[in-house]
Amino acid sequence: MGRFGRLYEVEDFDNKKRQRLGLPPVKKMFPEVQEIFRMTGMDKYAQPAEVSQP
Amino acid sequence: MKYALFLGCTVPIRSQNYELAVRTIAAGLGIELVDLEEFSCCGFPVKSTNARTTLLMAARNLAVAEEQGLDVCCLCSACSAVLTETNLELQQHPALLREVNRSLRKINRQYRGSVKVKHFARVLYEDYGVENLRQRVTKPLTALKLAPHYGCHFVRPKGNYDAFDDPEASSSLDELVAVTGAQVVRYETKKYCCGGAILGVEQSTALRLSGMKLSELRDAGADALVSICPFCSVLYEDNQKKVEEQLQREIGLPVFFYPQVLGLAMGYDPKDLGFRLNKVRPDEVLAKVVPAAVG
Repeated sequence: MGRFGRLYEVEDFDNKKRQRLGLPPVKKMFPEVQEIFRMTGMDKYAQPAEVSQP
Repeated sequence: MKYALFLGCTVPIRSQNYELAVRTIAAGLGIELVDLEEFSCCGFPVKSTNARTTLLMAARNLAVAEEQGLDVCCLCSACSAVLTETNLELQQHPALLREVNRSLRKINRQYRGSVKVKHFARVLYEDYGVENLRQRVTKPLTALKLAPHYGCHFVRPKGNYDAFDDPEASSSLDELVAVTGAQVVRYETKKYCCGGAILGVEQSTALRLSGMKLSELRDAGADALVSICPFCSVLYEDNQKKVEEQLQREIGLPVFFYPQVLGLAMGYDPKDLGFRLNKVRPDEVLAKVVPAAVG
């Protein structure tokens, strides 16, 4: 959510499917939501988990 | 009637059948739904982690609608709940509104508190009206037994929704189903949560909860469960196979979105209502009301 502003990432495939169904495309990214995550510190939780070395 | 259509996260990606049916019947009823590209997630999914983030995300979405001078119509009960709750908090607490606007200004937004939020089912029930809907029914679904599922957020908490329905004895969705001519199934587990709230934490319990309702409805001879929330349908429909595995019994209960049901009663072709996207095959049930439409 911190990256895309949505619970699910919207890909080109999704918008093409929507177009086939006669539905309007949906926006894929929301920089304003990214900024909200930065303001509240939630961006720290949204970082990919570090892979621990063996 | 004109509203900004708030799709949320699940509807546009996983429940296009719901969206198709809503758009079809709204057009037929003269309810104008406006797409606003800038609507993001409502904020509900992060509420238990960081309520401040939810507050700002919801306030931002309300500001987006306000900029266009539109009230908000939600399809998801969780979106409806969080936007309604945030809206009330901001409208009732001017100091909080000022403080939130200090943050929103950093993304060039501002909210004055003028927007109203309603779930689409409530728009149909209150704004369009049950009696007006009755006038639009041309093919009553008298052959069907349908079980309304309210979920957790549609009428609760009561104070957030102007007490438009009684959480302990809800009747609005029953009335909306009844107006289609279908027989409304009365059942014990009617008020149960779908299980979605704990799906990501304890899948087994979530499936057990949804399985209780699906089993009861299958035993009661229901033709379908009627949902008004995409995430409830994720449990009852997308996860029905897992429920069957856990219960060690076949359920095979179709799950319809209410606008699909109303659309059938208004005489629309099932293709225009997205039935081909339903994951539990609805063909046998549809054959009872529109035999020619099923192959």
